[in-house]
Amino acid sequence: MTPLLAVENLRVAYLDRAGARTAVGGVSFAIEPGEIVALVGESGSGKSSVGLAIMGLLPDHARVAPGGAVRFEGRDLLATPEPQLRDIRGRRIGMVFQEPAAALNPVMRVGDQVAEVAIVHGERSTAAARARAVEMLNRVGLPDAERRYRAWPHELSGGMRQRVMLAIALLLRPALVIADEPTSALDVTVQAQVLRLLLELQRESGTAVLLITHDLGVVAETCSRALVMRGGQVVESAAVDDLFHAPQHAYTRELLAAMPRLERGP
Amino acid sequence: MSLRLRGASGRWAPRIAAATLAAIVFVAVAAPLVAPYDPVASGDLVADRLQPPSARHPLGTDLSARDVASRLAYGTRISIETAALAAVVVLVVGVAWGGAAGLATPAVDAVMMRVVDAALAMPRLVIVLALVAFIGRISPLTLALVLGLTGWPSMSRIVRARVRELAASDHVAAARALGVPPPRLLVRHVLPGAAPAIVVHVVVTVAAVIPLEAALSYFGVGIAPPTPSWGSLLQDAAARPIDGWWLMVFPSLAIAATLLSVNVIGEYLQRRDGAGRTGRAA
Repeated sequence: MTPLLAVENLRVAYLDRAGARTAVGGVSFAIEPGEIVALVGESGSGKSSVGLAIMGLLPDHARVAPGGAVRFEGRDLLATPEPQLRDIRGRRIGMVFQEPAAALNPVMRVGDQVAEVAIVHGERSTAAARARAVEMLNRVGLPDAERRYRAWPHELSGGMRQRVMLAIALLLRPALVIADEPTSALDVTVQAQVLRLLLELQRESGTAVLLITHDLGVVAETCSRALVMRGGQVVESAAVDDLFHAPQHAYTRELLAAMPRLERGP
Repeated sequence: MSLRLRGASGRWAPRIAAATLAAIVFVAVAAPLVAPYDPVASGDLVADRLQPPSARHPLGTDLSARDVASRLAYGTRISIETAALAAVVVLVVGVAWGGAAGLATPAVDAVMMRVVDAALAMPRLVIVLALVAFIGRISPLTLALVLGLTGWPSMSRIVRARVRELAASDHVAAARALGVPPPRLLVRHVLPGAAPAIVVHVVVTVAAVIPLEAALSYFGVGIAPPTPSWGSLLQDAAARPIDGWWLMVFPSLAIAATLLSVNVIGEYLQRRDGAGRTGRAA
């Protein structure tokens, strides 16, 4: 089976006054359809840059080195021109951001932001787009979705906002969702709800998920496979069970040791 | 040009200003209904020449025996129309140019902003005078276009700065991540956030264009007689400042009231926008 997404030797550098700083130094991995893969690492490890590079949304001062490839559904996204990339974004690949408060447009009603995905990707009837948005808001468990369609982002709680973001990312049933720290900005109790919802939706729609996170607790609960990144390199790639029980790389052991635990040592 | 009204007047000043401006705009729109006489037709050149305000001519008559109230009403119409049209040109060209530069690649943005720098480096009055000298006698429409086309660079600079700032924000990145194409991105996700700054600058533009039109017309290079405008009315008045005081006073009051109102409203909008932004961040 060909993987859904194959990242091959991806290298990303950021230009600054001192020259080019490497953020991602030759990363390769693959995701099968419907699989949930974690990309774990501390801040600055380059994990977010990988997500942005797949989407073609790196900032202007970032450069992707030639020689790498991001193969998705049979084409290399790094070599795909912007108009075709726009067609893929939102329709075949959805994205969930860390801060739902910042990622929603503050001056647009939340329902319209969900409906916009459908409209941008060819839905001509505004009424049909709205109906789909309401249905999706129901599915992500937004209470009273019909009425909340007209709410502004600041009127919703953090958890509800992230539900809206999930609705946006999953409306068109993309083959892949990139979730960049989707629960890090939320309260612990809400984190669990949102994660459970992400898993539910993932199971329903068969979407593959690339979960970018620094939280190994989240990884243990959700993912089948994990890639550990450090300093722009993938230092370990393993099934989650193996990773937790028999970490191969010293850095992974350090990360695991850094997890807070309830039980005390002898 | 900035006027500060503080304390207790802070709440009422914007309302009074809005009412004043509404009245002035009403006179401009309804000039044919408000004006008792034809603004350019002379009355009896012997009996009606340079008469002080009276029941028949509430604001008096001028040297050509024309009714000043009628000329002021039509002059208000011309001046307000000129300012409004100039502001629309500034709005359209400035937002389009600034918006495009804000979303463009760094190289294109740099070129577009150097054009703005060059335009801003040239003194506006000199350009307007040169254009007017080149065109000759100009209509209110032409003057509005000239004022608008010399006024858009500052607007484009403000819009571009705001667009850059907003384009780097998370929600615009999120919109791009769901495949929103650039034109829609600008209109739906970027410009609404820039709207308060744009509105304030439109008000500033109006406040700058009104005295500019008046000054140009006063010096005889703006709107040409016999078409009345606030500036050309003042030009008529300059001949008889003492024994024809009503010629000077009423157009001056109209200009002063308009500018005062526009500035108070501009200040109010700016203050409200500032409060709104910090409020949203909290």
